[in-house]
Amino acid sequence: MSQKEEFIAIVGAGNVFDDQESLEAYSRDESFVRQMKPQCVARPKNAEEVQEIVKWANRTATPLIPVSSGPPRFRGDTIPSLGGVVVDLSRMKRIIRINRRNRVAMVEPGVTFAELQPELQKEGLRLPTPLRPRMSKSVIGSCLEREPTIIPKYQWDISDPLLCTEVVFGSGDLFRTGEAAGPGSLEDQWASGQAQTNPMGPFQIDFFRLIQGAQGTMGIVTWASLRCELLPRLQRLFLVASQRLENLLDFAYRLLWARLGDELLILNGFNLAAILGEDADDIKALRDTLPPWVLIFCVAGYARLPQERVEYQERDIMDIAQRFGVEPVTEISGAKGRDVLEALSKPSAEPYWKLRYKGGCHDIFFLTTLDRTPEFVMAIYRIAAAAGYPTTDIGIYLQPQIQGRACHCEFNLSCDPGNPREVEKVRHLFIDASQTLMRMGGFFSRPYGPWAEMAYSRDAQSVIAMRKVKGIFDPNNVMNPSKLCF
Amino acid sequence: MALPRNVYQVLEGIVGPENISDEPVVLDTYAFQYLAETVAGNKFCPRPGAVVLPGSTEEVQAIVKTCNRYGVKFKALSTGWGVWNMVSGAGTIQLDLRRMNRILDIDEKNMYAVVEPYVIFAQLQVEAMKRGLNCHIIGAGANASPLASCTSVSGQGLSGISMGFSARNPLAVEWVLPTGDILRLGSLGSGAGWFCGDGPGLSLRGVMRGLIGAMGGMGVFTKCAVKLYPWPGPPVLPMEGLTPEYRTLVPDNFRFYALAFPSWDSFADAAYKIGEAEIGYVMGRQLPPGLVPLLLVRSSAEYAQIRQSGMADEPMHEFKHAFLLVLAGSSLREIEYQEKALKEILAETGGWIPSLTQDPDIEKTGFSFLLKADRNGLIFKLAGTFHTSFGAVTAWDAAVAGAKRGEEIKKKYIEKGVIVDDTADNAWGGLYEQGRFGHLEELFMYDPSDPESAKGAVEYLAEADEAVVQESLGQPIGILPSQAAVYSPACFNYQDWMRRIKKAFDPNVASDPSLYIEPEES
Amino acid sequence: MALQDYRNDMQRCSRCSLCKWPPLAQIKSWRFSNVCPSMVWGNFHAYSAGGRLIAALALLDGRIEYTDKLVDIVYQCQMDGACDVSCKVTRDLEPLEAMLALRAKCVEDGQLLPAHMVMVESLRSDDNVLSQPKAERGKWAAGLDVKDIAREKADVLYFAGCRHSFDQDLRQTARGVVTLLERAGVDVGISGREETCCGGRAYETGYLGEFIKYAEHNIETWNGAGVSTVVTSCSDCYGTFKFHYPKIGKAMNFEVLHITQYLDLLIKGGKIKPIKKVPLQVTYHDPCHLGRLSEPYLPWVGVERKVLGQIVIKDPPKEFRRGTNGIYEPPRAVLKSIPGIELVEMERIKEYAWCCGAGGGVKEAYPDFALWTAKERIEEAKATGAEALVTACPWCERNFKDALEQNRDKMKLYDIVELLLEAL
Repeated sequence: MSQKEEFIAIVGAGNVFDDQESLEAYSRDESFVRQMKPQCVARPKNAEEVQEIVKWANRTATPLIPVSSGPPRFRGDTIPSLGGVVVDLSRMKRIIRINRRNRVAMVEPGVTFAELQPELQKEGLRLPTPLRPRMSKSVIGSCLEREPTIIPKYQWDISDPLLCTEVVFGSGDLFRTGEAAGPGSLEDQWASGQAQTNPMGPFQIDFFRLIQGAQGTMGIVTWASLRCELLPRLQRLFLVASQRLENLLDFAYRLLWARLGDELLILNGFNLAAILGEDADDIKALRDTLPPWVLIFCVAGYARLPQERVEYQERDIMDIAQRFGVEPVTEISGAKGRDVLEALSKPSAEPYWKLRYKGGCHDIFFLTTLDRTPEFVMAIYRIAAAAGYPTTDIGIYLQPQIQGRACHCEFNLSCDPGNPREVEKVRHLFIDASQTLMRMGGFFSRPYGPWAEMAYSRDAQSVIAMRKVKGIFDPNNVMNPSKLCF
Repeated sequence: MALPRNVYQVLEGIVGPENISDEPVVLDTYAFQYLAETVAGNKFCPRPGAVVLPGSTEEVQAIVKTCNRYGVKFKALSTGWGVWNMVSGAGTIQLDLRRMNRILDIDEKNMYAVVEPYVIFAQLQVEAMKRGLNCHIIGAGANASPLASCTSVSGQGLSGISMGFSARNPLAVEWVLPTGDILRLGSLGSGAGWFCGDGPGLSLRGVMRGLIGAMGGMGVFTKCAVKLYPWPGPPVLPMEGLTPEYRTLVPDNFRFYALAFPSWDSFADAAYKIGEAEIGYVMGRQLPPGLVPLLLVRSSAEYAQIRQSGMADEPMHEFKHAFLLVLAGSSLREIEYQEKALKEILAETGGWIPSLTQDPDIEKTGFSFLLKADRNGLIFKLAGTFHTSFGAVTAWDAAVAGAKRGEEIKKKYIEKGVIVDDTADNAWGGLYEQGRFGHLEELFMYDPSDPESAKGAVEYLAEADEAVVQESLGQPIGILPSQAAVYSPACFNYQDWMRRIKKAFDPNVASDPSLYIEPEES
Repeated sequence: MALQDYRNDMQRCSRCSLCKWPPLAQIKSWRFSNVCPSMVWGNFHAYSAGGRLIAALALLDGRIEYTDKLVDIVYQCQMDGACDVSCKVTRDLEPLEAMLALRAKCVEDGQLLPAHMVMVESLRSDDNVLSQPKAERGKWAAGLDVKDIAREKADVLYFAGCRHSFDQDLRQTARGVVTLLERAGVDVGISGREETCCGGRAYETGYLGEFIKYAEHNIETWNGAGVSTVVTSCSDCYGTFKFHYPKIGKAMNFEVLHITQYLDLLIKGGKIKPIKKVPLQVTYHDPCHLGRLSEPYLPWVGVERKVLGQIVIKDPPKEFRRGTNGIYEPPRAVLKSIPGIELVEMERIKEYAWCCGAGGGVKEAYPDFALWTAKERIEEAKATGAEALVTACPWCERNFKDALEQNRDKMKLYDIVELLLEAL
């Protein structure tokens, strides 16, 4: 049997694609990462097939690029750097278990937010999501990427909501991380009352942390358990408008300290317009109406005493707002609270909201602390202006993380992908700005594309250590080679 | 084999002659350990070759590099409480991080502190409270080290319901690797500050520790950013009374309760509901039935008397399915809401507040005790020491299942007379992160000066481990190397991966592997 | 009790390090969060009470022999008992008693520090610890019209102690005591030249023979003199009388009071009326031997038994001295009774006060360590914002004085007696 035949025998001929259209589709994405076609695309249906694929890849020294989400993709991490096989996990769509008592769900990588949320809702649960994920976004993909979620109080660790995983390491070994590792099978564990809610371990290594954020370079996850939250019975969304970002920060810090509110994020006028607007004209019009900055927070009541909860939280927040000289309202000119809540509660309809303004979008994001965000905002404005990019077109999204200890700072640069000069301008801006923001102390913890070299050149010891880890879990370097520092 | 003289001299050159010793009397104070009798058969584990007191990260690095160069092993400790601090053999040097004891920074807005190894929870807590913040304190008590707990050991504690588990509380960390290279995790390594311990890309926090840490087997941690949590109480908690009865008033926006339930099921249900209502500040089963009499009496003799007379039977029975709870509201409205929610939960689960704890003095004592974690050492009082078993960090229902099983197995050893008759039910623990997981460890007390008692303790532990594996009761608390061999085959042979990590990060096997993993399978 | 009688305690030490800190609930800042001067000075675990219990066990088991280092570890400690208080918040062990027994064993085995030998020589030749001529002992009272109890009967004996008798800088306190008591109408007498050392320092440094000699002599003398009360202005002596004298099993037919206790009673009884204003913000240093170490001795002879499996009980039941019953309030009450005095407390007070640094033979054998300990306390006093540091013990006062002088520090320093005199 040839290598190809061997490979086809694993997943079945109907699940291997090497036509030009398919290869094209996986060869590029919305990012600046160089186009590169894979040899073929495989769509396995279960962990056994995944494991066979990985073993095959080791035998044949073939790179593997795991993909869980559908297009449009943005990060460049799923573009093959050196050819190889794209392992598309979107066929693995089982929602394996939802356990209300322990507020946990266990899903396969092909499950999207759009598919999972309604099922969770039936059990009175929800999963904190990133800001308006696209319809085709894989939940596991998002969690593995450490995408920020919009409810900071539920993020005790930056790894949340990811809990346990089943993974095939690049070596071809199957493993389960966290308490899922054992003792006992999943069924045994369920019988004794366990629910794979503890991601730590087994024992002296947090294996899941070696896979999370690894951009598919350590292995392929075949299921994951995820920490879910109670579905609110009652929600009231508030907006705090401001001319200056600085005026919102102390108020935000106080809410975070007091654990008041659920969803809590800051958008500039452009991004609020972008998540509400239906098309480019709509977005423009809204942007011109909306204030420069809006802090968004939502007060919720759950199954128990929802009305009382919302009432006391609202009143406490109003007291705090007065102290800090801000005014939370349920509606501002251009944005109604319930529309914003609607936007935050569901994945983005097509076209994906970031693409509506110009058809393309390049995101610069990094971690910092909320109090430093004004400096970074000043910097991007300055750099954009110097590059001739309209600052009014920059979308800004600030997301407190780890219950307020860090802040995801994101700048969205819209761009017409059909205009080569504009693309080139934005590409230069993207690189320049990234370098400057990194030098200023922005922590590019998710080093996609050109950020990898920038980030790793600052931290040689981490590179040495990560290469050791890579050498252990993927000794033949079959997993998405040339990503991160590998 | 003692430490070669030339190596001693190199180390002396690094730290100064007053900060190194190979005097037998000094060495023995590091060889002696809590639980040593379960491992070494008596109170003394192996003596280190020397004890060194570094004063800075640079000195730690120089020491570690020296060890690599000369083929000497090292093991770091801070407060050094527990047999996991022991060195595995003669000639291994012990790094006592006592001199590295500063709180380097408290970032009030972003809620974290940067600490050195010898800072203890009690110090961090009082400084944090001045700024409206608090810290998770582990069950060992406020005399333990947050850096050690977060980077190297375990992390259970009753403040977990609102302040997490130590493994999830470090942000960035400064780490002297076994080779002597300095690794700075996360944002620190990228020169961006202390606020994140993960990345860029994958997280090396995964190599630093898992459910438990490397316990000295993967180098030395010299600085750690530790998460702080909201403290809506006064900047200073005034203590009244003289020793040993310190207590503080319960502020207006706090409440203290003991809550009792009619069954394990309703006990479990209530905990789940409290977690879901997001109302707990400190919570847990601090007074299993066997320890309840300590609320009423002071000495072991009085304890024995009140047990033997039957006078303790009623309160012990009442506390069979009970836990303690502190509520904290950031406003009076919030505390009222929390009280209302709790009332509903009690009604739904048939719970009540035992009259014993309605006494205002006991209320103040219980509140102080839970907040300050200052008297956790009471567990040593009755027999001289204690040990633990079961205690997986897992779904609360599974934690309860483990507690029940522990009680069953303990009965046998109580009948043999080798451990304290604490009614067999001495399960201690609580919820983490508003009930996302929890733990209940089965404590047992024995006399470390009595070889029969110590032997009985070891036998019980072996039987407990067998039950945990056979009955899928999770990954238990604080395992020692002898126990690890039982668990690895049941957990995807995780030790094979540990071995590879150990080899890659410690090619000269300089960092004492005895509580982590030997690089070669024996 | 001999050292081997504490063997079980040694084995039951859990090495928790509580002996290094104040009771955890009483820590108020990082800066003043240590309670064991020996540990802060020495750093190795061996310098803690727990460390010394381990050392004692190792010695008994023959794991170690006497070396200079061992003797250093044993003696580089003020025996201030803070460790004992902290340990006993939760445990029923006797760290301080074990350390005292360890010192007695060192002396028994001939492991003697030269500085302590000088002190013992002074006791043997002149009945005082300060190498001063015995003939000079009564000179502090020159010109005072006060009874000599060897010649006249008196109701109350004032015991000055070696330090107040011989230290020229401090003897005004002793004179002040006599003045105050006489003005209050107390029928007081002194022993003057015939007074001997209390024997406390000898006990603390392991010289049991010397201690017993003085304890027997003093008890006999005072029983014979028929005094109802022995009052002293020295906390070291006071603590010795309350904690150690009862150990020799001789009936003490008199009450023992510290001068601050007595003054408190006299003020409350209207016999002393502080009326003059003394405008001063002060902080009060609890002398170890007046505070936690003066808690009366509780004799216990018995055995250990096991019940309920492995619960260790003492039979008959043993009550533990935990520092609860030291003399904390009377000195404060005296200060508060002085108009104009504002008392602000340090962070480490009462049963968990930081030692002045002088006791346990440290002033004699490790003068730098003694001064460093005092300086640490002075820093703490300054942190309160107080103008003056007040104490009730001449050893504390001497050590603070020396430290202030070494640092050219102008902070004011008083004995309570001095301040009260100013208010009359």
